[in-house]
Amino acid sequence: MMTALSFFVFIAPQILGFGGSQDGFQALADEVEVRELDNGLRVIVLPFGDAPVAAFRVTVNTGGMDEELGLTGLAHFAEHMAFKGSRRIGSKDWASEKRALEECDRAWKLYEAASTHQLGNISNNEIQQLLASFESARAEADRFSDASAFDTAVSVAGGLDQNASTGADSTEYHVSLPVAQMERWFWLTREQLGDPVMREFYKERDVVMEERRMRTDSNAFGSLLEAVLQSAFVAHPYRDPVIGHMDDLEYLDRPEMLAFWKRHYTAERMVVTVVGKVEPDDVFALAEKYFSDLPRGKKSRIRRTQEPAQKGERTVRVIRPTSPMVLIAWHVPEITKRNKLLYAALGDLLWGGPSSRWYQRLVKEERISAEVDGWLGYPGRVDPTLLLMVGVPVPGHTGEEIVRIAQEEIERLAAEGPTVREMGSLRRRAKMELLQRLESAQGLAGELAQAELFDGGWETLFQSLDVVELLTADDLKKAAAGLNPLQRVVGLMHDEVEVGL
Amino acid sequence: MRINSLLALFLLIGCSSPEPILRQAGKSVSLPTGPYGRLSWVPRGEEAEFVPARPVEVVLGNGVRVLLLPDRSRPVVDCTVRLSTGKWHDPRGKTGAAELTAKLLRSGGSEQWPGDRLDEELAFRGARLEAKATFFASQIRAVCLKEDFQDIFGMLADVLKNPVFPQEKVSLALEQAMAEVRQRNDDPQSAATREARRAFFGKMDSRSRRMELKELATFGMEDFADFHRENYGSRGAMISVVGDFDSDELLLTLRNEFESWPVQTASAEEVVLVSPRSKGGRIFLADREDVNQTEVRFLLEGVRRDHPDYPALRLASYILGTGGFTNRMMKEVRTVRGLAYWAMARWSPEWLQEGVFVAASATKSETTAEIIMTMQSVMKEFLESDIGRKEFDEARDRMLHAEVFSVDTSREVLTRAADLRFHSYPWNYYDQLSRMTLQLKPADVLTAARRHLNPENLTLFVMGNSANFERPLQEFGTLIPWNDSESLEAKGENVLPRMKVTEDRAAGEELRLRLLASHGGAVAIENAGALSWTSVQGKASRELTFLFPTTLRETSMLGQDQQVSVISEDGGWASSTVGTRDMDSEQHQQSLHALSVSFPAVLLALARGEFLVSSAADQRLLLSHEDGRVIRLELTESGLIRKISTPLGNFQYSGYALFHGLQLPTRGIQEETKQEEYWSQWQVNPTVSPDWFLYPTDG
Repeated sequence: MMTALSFFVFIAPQILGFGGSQDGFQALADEVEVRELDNGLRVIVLPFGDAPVAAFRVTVNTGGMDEELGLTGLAHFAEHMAFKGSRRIGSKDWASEKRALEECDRAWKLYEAASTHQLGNISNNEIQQLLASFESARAEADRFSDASAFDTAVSVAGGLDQNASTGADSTEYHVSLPVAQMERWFWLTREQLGDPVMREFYKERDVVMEERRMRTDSNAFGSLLEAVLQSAFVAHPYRDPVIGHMDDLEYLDRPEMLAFWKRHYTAERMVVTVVGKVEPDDVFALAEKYFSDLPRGKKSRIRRTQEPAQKGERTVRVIRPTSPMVLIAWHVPEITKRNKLLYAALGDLLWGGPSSRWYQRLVKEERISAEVDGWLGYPGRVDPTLLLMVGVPVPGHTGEEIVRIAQEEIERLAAEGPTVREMGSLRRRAKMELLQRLESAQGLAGELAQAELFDGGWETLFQSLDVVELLTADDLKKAAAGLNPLQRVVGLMHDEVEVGL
Repeated sequence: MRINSLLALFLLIGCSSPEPILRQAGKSVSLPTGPYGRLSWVPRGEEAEFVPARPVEVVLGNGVRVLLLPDRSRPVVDCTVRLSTGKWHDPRGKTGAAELTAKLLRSGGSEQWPGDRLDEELAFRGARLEAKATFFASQIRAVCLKEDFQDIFGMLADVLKNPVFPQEKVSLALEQAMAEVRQRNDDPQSAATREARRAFFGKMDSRSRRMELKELATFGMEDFADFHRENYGSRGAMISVVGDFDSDELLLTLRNEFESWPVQTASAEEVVLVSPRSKGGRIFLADREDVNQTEVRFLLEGVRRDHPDYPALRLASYILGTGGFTNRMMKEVRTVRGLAYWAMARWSPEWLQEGVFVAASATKSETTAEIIMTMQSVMKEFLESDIGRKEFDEARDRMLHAEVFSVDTSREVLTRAADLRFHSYPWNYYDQLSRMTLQLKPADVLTAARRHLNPENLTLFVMGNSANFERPLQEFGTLIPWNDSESLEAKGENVLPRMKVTEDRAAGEELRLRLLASHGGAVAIENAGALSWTSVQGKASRELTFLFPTTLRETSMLGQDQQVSVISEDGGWASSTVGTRDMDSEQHQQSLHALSVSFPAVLLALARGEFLVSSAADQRLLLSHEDGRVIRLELTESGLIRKISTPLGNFQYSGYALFHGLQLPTRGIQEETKQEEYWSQWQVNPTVSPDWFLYPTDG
């Protein structure tokens, strides 16, 4: 029974002072405990805070880059489907539902084959009939489904901010819960990871298509970003948007998705992080109890086509009746623990704040761009990736001017390197940034998982300030020099009027 | 309550024979059913209670309030100074003054700390200094490592108090603002949200003001210097600090910088606190070709955060359309029909203003009509049917749990407290809200929702490519094309009387208490449930009996004949020996309204705290009521009501006398008609016979 609640607060206990040689992060690092289950699943626990709540997160080493053309959007779509329940939760009658779902899949396959002309000569009438059969098979399957049961179970347990996201490299699922409900989370997550039924698949397809319309088709920046991405990569799966191509979304089916899940959602590729007022031993015991039976799988990813070197600059235009924008992408190597902080520092020097190189020159001095921003490691970081910059040309100036000056600043940095003062500030800036990212339990949970999967181990999270200390001006010069104008992609967005070249 | 939801889950989980679906190197693996084959059997730990730290509030000598929340867990200090000046202070023709002045504090800096020098120094220290303006406030915030705080705070105080607005930075800021204006329709989702509100409030409303290119072109540095000089100062200011600091040291620093800061000189601008009451659905269409998805917004007048119905409406929002995937709107629109990626419906309250009720979603062009009808039917269904116990309990528990997590860092604790106190809300506001929520029953939620949501009155705003809608919008009602680029010279769209707002509502509250004290005491007036008096106008004399809030009985002599008329919530009639005549509905409404703004009704309602009260200047009070009444009061030096002004007219009171402990009027004059009226024989809580108000049975 709920008693009158005062609002809770999440404050780290006094005992975790921030003294010590590593600017205090050592104390935090000392509290972390890790266990690896027999099937390779890793569990990282960090006791944190006074309020009896915890952040729970599952991060899986799979994403858009594991897809093939023709099946783009699977990873992200699978993330949606993970919330539709399992055999034990979300079904009104599993035996009947199972039959109905299989029938539905069959009917879809028939209709798909017919409508894409793979069955030879078929009249339109027959195609329409197959569609009707599919629709009624779908309605029949829906009769047995209660797809919102999973969500309800989580929220009844007091789960908050339940959400998930899919990137090119990894997919994560997170929620915050009162610690008293922890076992419930394990039970539900085991169902989610180990036994997803993917009911109401075809209806959810509509939802994903709406999401694509929202993020990309009807969104100016989204459409420019996709155009640049598709030009930057010609072969590597990073080329295709994580949300998927609209045409692929039309034809994805449930068996394909179950196969994707089976291949990629395996224990060795999963990291579970729990941060909050928990006892690590309790968490490990529950992990043993509920996750031990998840299949091991293979830790490595499937082979993907290596992107061949870009031999010359590429330009892509997107014509839209919106205000102009320019998006530039440079190729950079994969982001590993060795170069992550180097590139982060480079980014900071180029676009971090109003005294950064790009902002100073483009916005303040030359006044040709209204704003400037950048990103490192888009769309992913596991394989060679991109460094992005966006600018907004001021009336009377063009995106091309912005490109020229941005590159000049890169070259200046490559030749002269950062100033002494800039070098001196790196550690402080990195410290502030780290403190920000580690402010909340959910933030910590996310950072620990990313470090474990992609930086060679969770400990590296707390060692970043030392790594920053070791950066030299030469390192930064070299990194800047690597942003090669011959290998950049320029995306220009403007309305029709400007295409008078 | 938990047992019920667990039982429900029992029913959901079907029986299954363990079946292998996962294969591992040729071996089939079945998931254990174990002792926890059902979710309902999973054990739960002990739930613990936790009392959070509360920020300490200190008031400096000049009224500036300070909130402090020490937190030694991270070596960071986060400090915000918030002022009671915002976009609503923008002078006419200078929309953007507040926003850009705030921006320029940071980008232009001061004499000692010019913008570029600030940029460099802050970057060097890894610190942030940001300034911005919202509708009611402007704020500047510094975040830095604790060892840098003294210096950074010095920079903050200097640019806040002594900004220089250099020409170069002014023109850059204006250019950036113009770029923002040009881009503001690029993202259909935010464009629709913004324009729907403008359509709802009307283009003339102060809440609909936007920066425009033509106006921005007229700005010069003097505009910002003027704005700063007139509006930035200590009145209503609040400083909130969280992080690793020593409270005594910090207070000393704050006092040194801000205790002698003067009050600003500008008089308050007019802003409307009440949302428009829409009658009958209007449909606005903003047509655009560059999208394949339609944005849909329904809007209606909302409530303030301190409205007595807010706890029930907040819970209604959770059931109808907030909080994850299990609300009605999201379920029907996304999960059942797959029409949209997101859908919501909720009351969106404000601290000072009424806010709106909004229902929103987006779908592909070809299902626009379908989503409109679906959303309408979800709302109607919600209002017309009962809320099941399970649905109710789940929504309430979810909502209360959400409370817990909305403050999971100490920074959030402080921000929440600062928001409360900045708007003069009580410390225990959230506790009260939780308490009231726990007392709610499903019927309470429905009653409140029905009171505040009439789907017939919703304003609908649609932004999309109408060429591809599956049915024309005209089928839903009268279509009004919405042209975003129209200037603010649109005529006559907002006829609400305007209200002034002070920088702190506390002044209004003080005046209200003074008024009640002068009239005989708040408690005495609140205890008055009925008043009777005699009124003389010219030769006509009447006796009146008023039962708070909406019942009035009047008896008068027509020659030899006595006439009795009564109005009440249900209706009105006039009766004499000749017969009884009913008031038609229009007369009834008008009479009720006139009654509601009359002296007795206003005085009694004031004592019961039914009005939102604020004070525009000395001895002037502005009252607004959730039913739409807006009333201006002018008080005498001693705190008695001298004049009541409403849209119906102005009434002045020129004489008072003491009756049964209350000061009540004896003389007054209607300004417009110059009609004088005299009152006497006031009785407080007179003996009243119930059949006085009964409809006469024998004609």
